[in-house]
Amino acid sequence: MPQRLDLDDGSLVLIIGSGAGGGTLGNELAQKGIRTLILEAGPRIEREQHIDDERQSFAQLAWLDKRTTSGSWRIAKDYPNYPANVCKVVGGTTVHWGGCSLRVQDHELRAKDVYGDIAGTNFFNWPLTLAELEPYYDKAEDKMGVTGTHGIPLLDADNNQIVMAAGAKKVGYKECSTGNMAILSRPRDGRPATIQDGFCFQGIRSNAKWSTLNAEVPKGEATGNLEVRSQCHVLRIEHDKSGKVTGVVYADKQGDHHRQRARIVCIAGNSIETPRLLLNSASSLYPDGLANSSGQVGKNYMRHMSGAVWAVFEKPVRMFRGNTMAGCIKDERFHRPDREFVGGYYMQTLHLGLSSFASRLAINLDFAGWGPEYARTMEAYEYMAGMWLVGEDMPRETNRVTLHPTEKDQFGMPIPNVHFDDHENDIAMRNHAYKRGAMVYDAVGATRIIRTPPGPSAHNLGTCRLSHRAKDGVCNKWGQTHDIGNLFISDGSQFTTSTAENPTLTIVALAIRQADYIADQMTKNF
Amino acid sequence: MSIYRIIFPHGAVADEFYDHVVRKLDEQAVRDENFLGFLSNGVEVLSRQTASAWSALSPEARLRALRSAEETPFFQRLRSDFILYFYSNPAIWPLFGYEGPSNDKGGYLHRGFNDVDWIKKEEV
Repeated sequence: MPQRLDLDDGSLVLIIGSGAGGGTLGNELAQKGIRTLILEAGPRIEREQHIDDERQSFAQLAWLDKRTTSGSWRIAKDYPNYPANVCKVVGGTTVHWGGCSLRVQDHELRAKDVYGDIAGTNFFNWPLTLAELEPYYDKAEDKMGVTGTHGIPLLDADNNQIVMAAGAKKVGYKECSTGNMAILSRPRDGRPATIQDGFCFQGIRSNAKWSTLNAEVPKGEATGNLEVRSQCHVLRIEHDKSGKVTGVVYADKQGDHHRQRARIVCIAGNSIETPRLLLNSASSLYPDGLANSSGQVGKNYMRHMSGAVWAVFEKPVRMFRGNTMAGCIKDERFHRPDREFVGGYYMQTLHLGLSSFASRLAINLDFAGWGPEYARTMEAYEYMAGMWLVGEDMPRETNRVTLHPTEKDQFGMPIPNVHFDDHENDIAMRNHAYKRGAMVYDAVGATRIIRTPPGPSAHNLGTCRLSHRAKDGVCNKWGQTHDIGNLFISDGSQFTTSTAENPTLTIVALAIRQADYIADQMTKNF
Repeated sequence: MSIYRIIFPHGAVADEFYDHVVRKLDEQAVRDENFLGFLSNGVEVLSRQTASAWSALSPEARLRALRSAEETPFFQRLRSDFILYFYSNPAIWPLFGYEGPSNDKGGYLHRGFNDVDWIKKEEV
């Protein structure tokens, strides 16, 4: 472990959060010889301590600080105080992610031009192109060990995928495989190949899955340039009279406050905490919060169209044998003007253990979450296959993260409220995806289909969007805030639009790219 | 217990696994008087709404009574606690064909991760 960096050291780069964005950025900067400090709100729980039990793991990893919700989305009723399923540990949500690593599509970065005007949305083109991102995708895939890239073979299909792939073929889909996964199929870079032990949502006991906990953080620390200080919850960011940020105030695990100085501050707290921190840092110079001259901080919260389809078969499937997610149908990802919605989606295999599945089934669209039909369906668990649906959702200014007017957290800071209304495009896409998912399973003899609605969001996006013009968004094409030159956004909050793809690979690619930019700027500016 | 047998009717599952959930509720009721009151009041309201005593009702009548109480906080709490404690109990997993964690056994790599035999290889 490197020596603890000094609280008064105003020459370092300070990153808030150690997930896909913050953890990657920290390692990249450290590799360049830049002294970097990551403040992580959660504890450091090494992979040997991860628990392959859904309930216990949830208590160990989840971000359980209270949040409130509003809006017409089901979450406000089903999970009013738990809108997002993210982690509060070193490694952030990469500790419990599924591993699906897809590049965005060119048209998605130009969505405003391609989709045209859609009432009730706030689309912009991204201020960068796929060609600009591609070299960084390449580095990200290499770093993460993504199957189907860099000569890494695809994973072998598990039971859940064998069933989905057979159905996909029967209905005429052409692009179905175990997909591009940051779960190793062969030993590489000090990590072993998967032993198909699942519990990907519960951590990385087997070490086959990439996360910042088992890859970026230890690699950065090995340089001697990175310190990761855990259980340090940042309360506000401070600035000088000129408006430049100078550091942060954080609470340690005893609740004691400390002031950490820094030359540059990068926020990567996930798309709810990142805008919350900017808003909670309001001052007389920035009365609406930091980097918020556009009024856009917290707006355009996106969470992907999602849902799940479960199918019962006459013979056993045993979907739980194998990785949590390792199957992908890509055929519906395109934007097709002949459909009744814009954008596209993917179907990806998903299994849950009996305990999580019971909770998920309790909120389903086809029958009561209790009683004879519920019990009969639970008894068919061994005979089930499952898929998750994930697609592009709409940026809307009214879907937003705000500070709760009265409720405060354990440190006395206002908690976040997350407001979300489904757009009719989300509903049309979800209905389409439910039908196509059912067709896939019907084609291989499903006896029953059960649909479950979106649960707490794993993909939290937008809220500090990249934009060409300062008045439209919060940061420029490098994630540097338009208002404050030494303040950066380094997580999925940057996403101008959600795109249909699982976001981690893009967050990692943007972080690698941002590290290059910061290193370059440090020689010239700030 | 008789309520749970109606809400979650797993005919082949022995009483002891239902008892496991009831014991969890009891433990909490002992610790928390408010919760005890909440439970007793819920049971009392439920009994008042049926024409005859709960023990005299047919299974169908019990199901109807519970349906009419579906939206009450009492019912919702009974339901969510059952789901929390019943299905997360590793002792019942074999009854549902769930084999649970495998990391310590070398994963499912050599224990059937791809053993679905009713789909032919050429179909995939």
